[in-house]
Amino acid sequence: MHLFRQLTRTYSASLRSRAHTWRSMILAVWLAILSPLQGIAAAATIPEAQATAAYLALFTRYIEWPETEREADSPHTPPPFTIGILGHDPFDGALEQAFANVLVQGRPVVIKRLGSAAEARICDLVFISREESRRQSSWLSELAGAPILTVTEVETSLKPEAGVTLVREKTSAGSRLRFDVNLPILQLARLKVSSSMLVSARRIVRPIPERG
Amino acid sequence: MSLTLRFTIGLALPALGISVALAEETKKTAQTHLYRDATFEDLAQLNISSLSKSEEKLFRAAADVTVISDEDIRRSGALTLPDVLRMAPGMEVGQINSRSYSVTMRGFSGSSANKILPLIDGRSLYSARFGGTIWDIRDVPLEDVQQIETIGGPGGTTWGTNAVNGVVNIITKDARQTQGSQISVGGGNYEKAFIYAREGMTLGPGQWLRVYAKAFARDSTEPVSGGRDPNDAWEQYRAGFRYDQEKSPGTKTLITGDIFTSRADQIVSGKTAEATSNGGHLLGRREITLGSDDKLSLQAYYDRINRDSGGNLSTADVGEVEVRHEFELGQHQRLTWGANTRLSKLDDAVVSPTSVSSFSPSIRYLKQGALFLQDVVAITPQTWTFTGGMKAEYNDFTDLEFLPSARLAWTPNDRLTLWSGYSRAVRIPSRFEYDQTLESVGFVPASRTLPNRAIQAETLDAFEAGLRHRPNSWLNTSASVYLNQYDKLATSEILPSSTFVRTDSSYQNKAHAHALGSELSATLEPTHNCRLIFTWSLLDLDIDKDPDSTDATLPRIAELSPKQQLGLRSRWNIDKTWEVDAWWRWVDDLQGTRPVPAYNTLDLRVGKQLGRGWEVSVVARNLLEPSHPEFNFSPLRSEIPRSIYIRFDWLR
Repeated sequence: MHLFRQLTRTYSASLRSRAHTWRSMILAVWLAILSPLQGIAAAATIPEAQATAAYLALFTRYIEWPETEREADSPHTPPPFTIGILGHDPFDGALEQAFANVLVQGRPVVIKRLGSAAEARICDLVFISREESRRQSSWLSELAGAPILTVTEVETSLKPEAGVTLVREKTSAGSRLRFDVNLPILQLARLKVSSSMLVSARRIVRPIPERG
Repeated sequence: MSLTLRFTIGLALPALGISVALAEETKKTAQTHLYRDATFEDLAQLNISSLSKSEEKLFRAAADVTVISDEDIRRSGALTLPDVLRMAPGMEVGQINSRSYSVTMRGFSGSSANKILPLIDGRSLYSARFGGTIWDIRDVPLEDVQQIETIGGPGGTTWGTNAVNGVVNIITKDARQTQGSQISVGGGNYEKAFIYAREGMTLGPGQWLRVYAKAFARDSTEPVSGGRDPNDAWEQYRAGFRYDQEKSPGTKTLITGDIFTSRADQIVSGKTAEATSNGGHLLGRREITLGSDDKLSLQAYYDRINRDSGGNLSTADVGEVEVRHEFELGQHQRLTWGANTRLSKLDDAVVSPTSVSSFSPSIRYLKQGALFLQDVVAITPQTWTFTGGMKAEYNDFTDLEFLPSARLAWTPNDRLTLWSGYSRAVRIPSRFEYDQTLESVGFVPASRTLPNRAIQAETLDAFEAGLRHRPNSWLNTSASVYLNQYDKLATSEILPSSTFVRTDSSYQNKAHAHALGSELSATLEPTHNCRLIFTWSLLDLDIDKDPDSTDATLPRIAELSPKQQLGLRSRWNIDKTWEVDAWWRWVDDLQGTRPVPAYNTLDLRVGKQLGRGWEVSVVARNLLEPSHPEFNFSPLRSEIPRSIYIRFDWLR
């Protein structure tokens, strides 16, 4: 029993360092044998909330926010990077896990649950879930132009759209999550998107080129 | 024991334990890996499950639970709670006239169906006065409903007495989720006019409030052929609020309240009359997290109903206090215990030209109180779960009642759950059965119903089994079967004191029944913008009275339930702003002395989002016939008309 405990600890440690020692290989075999018993094999499917949280964490690494007045005022104690969940919260704690001990733009992260677009104006990132599709367009119009990354889950033809829209895609094996990027909206919010994020987007709305 | 066997067990047991620990560890590492190291390419490859944690919990539940979501409600086009409940498989909803409905599950239908227990945010809507629910005044703005759980079968261990055939658990939205404004107005030929207005506001950090007002007027239904005008148009006004506070994670406060007034046309003893009702409630709840997986909740409410249903005057005041504590005991057990006490003040007076009713005592203070304990045991993690519980409830009419339940669920993988259970439920007598003397006037022989202080509670022993299966990402199925054994059902018995000029009777427990039934539902989601929901239910109910019983009506209650019901709903987003919804239902015929033929009906809804929070929708209901009867409850006879209404919504 003691040996097993030690092996477990070694295994997780080795995963973290991603060092391929002989011990981790033995454990991988062990896991492969035991996993059908415990149903880990079925874990190839993850809850959508976790994938969404992972996407949000990734977006914050590939998008650059403009320096705000608050930041310029206090360069030594930067204000927190504020993420607002506007309305329904589908995450069940996944967002807190995704941003635990993470700095965004060198700032600590605060996650808030909000009820109205007016409250959301202090945020850097605002997430609006699928459940709030009916209020989405009026909220987005209130947030338009502010330096906020807006992320929604419902495609709409109503203006304005969100900066990023997460979309479910049906596949033969089930469902997967992709994202669309709306560059004019992001430009209006003065957010800069890295080209390596754009490569992975399913669809990109580009600005209409200016004439003359 | 052979050496080899001993060796195998010795090796296998710790191995199983360690593999559990490993599984947990791997899961955590995998999550950290997902949030730290995954790339856009990795995320796009992941298979996602769109089920939320509560949906996941529902999938594993060892009971026949159906959830009607806020989106289901909105897109059904239904404007009253009973019409919304028709979506749940096995729910029997028969509209009697414009405002009265028979709402039950698994049989025992009637205008005062007494075997299901509805609650709004934990507040019981069941009337201890007559046993049943007055659905036309037990309303809530449907726009504020988060979800409705309908639970088939006994819910006594959790919800107490009178949760016999099922529980309808209505949960309203958190005030945080209803910030901003909403105004909805509409009207049509039968749903004459309705308005709902809501304002949500933030009172401070972690404090939210919404206030609302709602009003509607519904026209009268159609007369049966050759019958007279049902004269049943009605209207209702309601205003209320909900306050939510969550200043620190895990400590929540909730306060809700409403007041209402309702006025209805009706016919009493052949003459047109009016029924009026008013009332309200105030409810407070505090949830405290004492530690990880250790939650304490305290709830108290007061509810008042005043009703004048044409000479039948009543006031019911109900107050209840409840405490509930849920915590983990070791690694594999989740214990919940709770206690509650309820005091009802029931004040009745009946003045009618054809009957004289008197109550003794004229004002009844009904005391109820209960203790319960429930243990959820994970026999093997994630796979086998046993739930055992017991509630002991005291009431002034029948003293102590015991409500045990034992359920087992097996979830071999995340696509399948098989469950079964045994539970016992009781319906305690109502004040009408226990306190009332009812004398008919002007008939020969006259009749008199006397109260019976020896009446006992009706009991149900229920055996259930079911399965939930989601073979792939676009199909979700659920099926259940039940065998219900009822004993000590209340019957109306002729007493030896009867003479040639007057028949005396009283309620006694002289019947039993058995029911065999099944409910089935299948949800298909072929694409993300289309959903089809199919439901089917079957009921075979037999009520037998004791050989010495003189009751003539109880066994016929079985004839008031359709043997089969079918439903097919579709929710379709034809593009990003258009919604088209259809709902077809078929309900088997009701037999008996006043039969109701089987009927087919179709509702259609078309909705369009106009942008900036504006929406318009048109709803047509009961399209297939000019009108049809759904339930025949003498002396009310009417037919439900085809109807159409238009609705505008503005949200901000």
